[in-house]
Amino acid sequence: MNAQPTGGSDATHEFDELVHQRTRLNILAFLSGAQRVEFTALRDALLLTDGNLNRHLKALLDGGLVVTKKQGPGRGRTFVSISASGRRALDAQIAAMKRFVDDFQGQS
Amino acid sequence: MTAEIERLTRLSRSRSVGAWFPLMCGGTATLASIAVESFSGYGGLTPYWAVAAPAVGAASAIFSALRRIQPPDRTSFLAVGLSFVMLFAMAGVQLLVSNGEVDRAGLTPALFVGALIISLGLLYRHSISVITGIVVLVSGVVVMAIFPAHPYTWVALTVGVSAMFGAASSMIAVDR
Repeated sequence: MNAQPTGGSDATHEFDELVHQRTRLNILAFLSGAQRVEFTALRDALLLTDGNLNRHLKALLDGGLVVTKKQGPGRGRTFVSISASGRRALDAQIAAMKRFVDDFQGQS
Repeated sequence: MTAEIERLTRLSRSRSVGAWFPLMCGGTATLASIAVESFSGYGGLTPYWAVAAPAVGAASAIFSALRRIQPPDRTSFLAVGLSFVMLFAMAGVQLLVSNGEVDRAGLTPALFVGALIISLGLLYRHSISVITGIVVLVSGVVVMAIFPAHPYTWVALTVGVSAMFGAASSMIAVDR
């Protein structure tokens, strides 16, 4: 989404910077297909490092877009799930991206 | 980028289902039932399935609960409810229509199993399960219509092999 159509497009103004970042968008997209995803499964599926995933999850947690929960004995397993507002933000982002593409194609 | 989002959503949905496990357990139990029938006759299948069917269900539920990627709770509750309804319906039909022999009515469980696999496949949006269920359902209907020698063996063989093939296909699809 780096290309800005010549003449400008208002659709980019609808992009949520927190959601639009590629890795965070992928995290939300993956979480949207399941109820809960264990941290390591999310890391493996998106080919991220622990630190990288932690950093992006913290941003999404701060924004209220995901929820984490520890389950199991001892240190437990950390499960991540998308929140209702996270799902709304993802849907809005997808819609904005589609509008951006439509605008771009309309101008070219 | 929207294609990538859709791909990731599909990937997590398909990994959360883990359909290969119940298909493999169900397939193994069905194929094993052929040996039970050959040793103890058709009558031995009732106690066998009374133990094997709940065992497959319980193992699948535990497997699902322990998965790293879990399907939506609402879907899981619906799947468990649907399985119970179909199990009781199947047992009820067997009690009403079957006389405990290998007659056409005695093959109705294959139809219930096929319908259940199709329903669960639709519920989880898992196309391999839907196809497996259709194969099971059609094979049940065909064997009931033709009614060859050793009809239970034919039904169980088709159901078991279809389920194992479905399990293998699911594993390959998730691993891609």
